[in-house]
Amino acid sequence: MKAKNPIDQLADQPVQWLSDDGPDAGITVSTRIRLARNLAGIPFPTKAATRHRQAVLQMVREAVAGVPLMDGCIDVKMSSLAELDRVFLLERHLISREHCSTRKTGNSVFVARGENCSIMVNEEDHLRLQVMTAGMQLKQLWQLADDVDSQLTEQLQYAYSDDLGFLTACPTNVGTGIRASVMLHLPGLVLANQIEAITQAVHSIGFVVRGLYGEGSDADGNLFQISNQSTLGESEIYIIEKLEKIIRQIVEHERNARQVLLERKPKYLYDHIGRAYGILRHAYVLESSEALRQLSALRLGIDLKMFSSIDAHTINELLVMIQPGHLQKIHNRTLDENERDTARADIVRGRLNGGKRETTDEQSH
Amino acid sequence: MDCDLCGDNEATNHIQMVIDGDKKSLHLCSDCATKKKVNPDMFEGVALAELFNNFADMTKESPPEQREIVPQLSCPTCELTSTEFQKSGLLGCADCYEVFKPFLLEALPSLHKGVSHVGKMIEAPDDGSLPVFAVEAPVNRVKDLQAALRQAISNEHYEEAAALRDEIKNLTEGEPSEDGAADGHLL
Repeated sequence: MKAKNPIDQLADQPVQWLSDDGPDAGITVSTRIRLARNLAGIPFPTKAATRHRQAVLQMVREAVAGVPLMDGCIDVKMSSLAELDRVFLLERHLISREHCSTRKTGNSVFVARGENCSIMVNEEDHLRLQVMTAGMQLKQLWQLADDVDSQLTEQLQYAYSDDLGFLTACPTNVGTGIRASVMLHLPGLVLANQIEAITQAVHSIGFVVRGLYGEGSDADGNLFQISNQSTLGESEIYIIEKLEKIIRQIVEHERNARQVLLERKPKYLYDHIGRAYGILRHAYVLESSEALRQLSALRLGIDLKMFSSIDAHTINELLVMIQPGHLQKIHNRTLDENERDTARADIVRGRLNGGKRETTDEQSH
Repeated sequence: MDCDLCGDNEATNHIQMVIDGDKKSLHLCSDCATKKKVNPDMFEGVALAELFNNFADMTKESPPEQREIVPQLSCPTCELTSTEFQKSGLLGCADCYEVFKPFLLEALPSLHKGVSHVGKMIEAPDDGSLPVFAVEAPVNRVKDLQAALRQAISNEHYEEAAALRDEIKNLTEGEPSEDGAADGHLL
């Protein structure tokens, strides 16, 4: 008798780290911090034998049991999951793309009930600990990551040297092993053609701008992740404070860009948003990239108070639900591309028509 | 044809010689031939053979920027080689940080803001290893087991041989896919 699929438990709950109650919620979407750690005396996953990987998993499992935040967590091996479920976890940012595509022995993930913490085992490093929250809350999140990490060290002996800090498979992560990342919604800077300049400026000070799904992904839906690159020679707090300053500046630029657009081209802006709303509310076929694009415009409209009864939370939920893995999870079967496009449109229409009839209120501007 | 040594002048002296069974040709201009005291009519003497050998070494020599990469390092713990490291960018174990130090000393400053750790500190492990996993390179281990297996078979200790075979299989098999779930193409 097959036990209930643990991933179904997640599918039944909204993504808490996308709930719209973080500070600066309109522009800063979410914050994530991940720590790369390896166990002492065991080859890193790329060179580890099956028995090493199994042993790592067992040791991490025992250590996770001592972390209060992970009480009652979901504990799944990648090899036991159908592709649909693995993609589902990827879309919820609980595992990486690399982890999603592998089913080697010992590849596993622990997910906290509230989805605010996940621990990948035997990915590039033995442990990839990740914590997430809505809005920008870097310091609080670092505190949380630090606590969980310290609780794990009560049972685990990490590969660490006084000179180089935490030793990681890739030298790009050595030292603190930290990657702090804030996801921003920047339609104003994109519309004002300033995003390229911002990206370059961020790069020039050693930080990275990535798309929605991290490395190499497009900035679909005008969602950008800003994160640190250097992990050696700077403390976690220093990195986080620097990132915080950068984010505040970008948020300020985004606000200015929106203000300028409102002052100089209000009709253009309202038209852009109004069309998006029309399409989302009435379309029966929606491709992924179009859905992301139009939801971005609608989200901008919500930030500009053009809509009285849709909130950013609805948009956040839709951003997650319209992804292929989620659509198929909702329908509980494999859908081909055309089926996904209609299923996507159905969900969006349903959500936007669900409440009271929406009216755009241009007079308020 | 240009001179093999200076590369500037036309080669007028064409010499062929068989060294260790390989037929080798050398083409020199008159200046270089004079400098090297080569007389094409005089196929004798150690000097000429040396010239050939030096020439062979000279052509094998890598350009200076690649020469630092040439020394093939290998980690005694996990057997990662410098070629593998350069290909994947990933180290195989904590000890690799010591083995590949020459590479890292060069790479780390360009990757990071500093070269030494200043963040969260924990106590470093005593000897970098846990007793259970006291460093045992998988490949060496397999070789040892294979030798033991041959020994067991020749001694007709078949039960021991079966156990050794299983252990080798466990170490070498290409990470079994435990997947029993249905796959569908999703993305």
